[in-house]
Amino acid sequence: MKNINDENLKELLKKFYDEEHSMEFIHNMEFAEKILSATREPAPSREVIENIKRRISKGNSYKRYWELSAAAAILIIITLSAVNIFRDEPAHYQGTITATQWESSNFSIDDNEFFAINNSIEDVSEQMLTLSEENNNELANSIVELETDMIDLENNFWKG
Amino acid sequence: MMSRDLEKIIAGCKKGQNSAYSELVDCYSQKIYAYFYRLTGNRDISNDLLSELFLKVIKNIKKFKDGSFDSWIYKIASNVFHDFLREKQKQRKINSEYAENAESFYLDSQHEKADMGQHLQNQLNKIDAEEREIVLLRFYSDLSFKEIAEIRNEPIGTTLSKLHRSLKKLRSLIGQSK
Repeated sequence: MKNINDENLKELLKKFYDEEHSMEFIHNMEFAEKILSATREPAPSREVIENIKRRISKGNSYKRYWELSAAAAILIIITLSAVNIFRDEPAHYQGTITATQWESSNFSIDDNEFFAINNSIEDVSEQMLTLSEENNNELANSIVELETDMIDLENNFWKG
Repeated sequence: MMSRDLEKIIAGCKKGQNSAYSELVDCYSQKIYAYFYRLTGNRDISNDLLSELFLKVIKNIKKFKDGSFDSWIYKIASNVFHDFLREKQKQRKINSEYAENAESFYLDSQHEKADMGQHLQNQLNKIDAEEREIVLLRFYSDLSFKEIAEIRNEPIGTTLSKLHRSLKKLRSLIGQSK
């Protein structure tokens, strides 16, 4: 009987069966082993084996192709990004806040662009505010004038 | 414990070497085909299961870290067989003509009764699939009972008791048929 991986079968069986059943178990195993080894072992045909190898090899080629394509794509993207970063020198923007005043350390290469955008937003915001205040004053004057006119009109109406 | 050669083959497979895949197929195809054939009793099905097994092994080879490679590969073989059984059961439900013949996939094997191995096959086919699998795992793989129990996700006592029962049944069937 096979002694697999130094397995002590008798010891193992003792844990689960009494002496009689352990012996019966071992005899049945020996019997099955004898029968199985006496019969002709079913084997796959050479053709089947070659077919399996072909399928694996084909699958492997496809896998490699995709891996290489993905790696090439990543490399191209990295190269293009690197070329763009080093080719474009950071533009010098005039802003109300200087780069040194900026507290965040998260921006390095894009600081100037960020300041420019930020300053533009602030400029537009100020202009809007001024316009709004001017408009508000004009509007307020118009309302006062309209009210005066209305009062005059009302008085004149009752006077006939 | 793995042999040096097997370790090399597995390392080659992990690197994606076709020669290593080829060696792995040569190493295991005989034993696992025998296991599938004794389980199903059908050559065509065994061929399909064997192909499927190796494709799964190659796909997952990087997941194999250490321990017994035999145990790992037979676990996949067992899963492939159970997937096949589930698929067969589904088909049987769909197609009622299979319902009366619970072991329909053994049909072609029954035409080869002259073969002594076939006689054993016929008796094996009479015990239920789960019990048959334990017998075959024990005799076609080099796995210990502990490993077989791990593959089947059950306590070792359960595995032993199922094997004991199926061996008794098999012995009695072979005795009756003589």
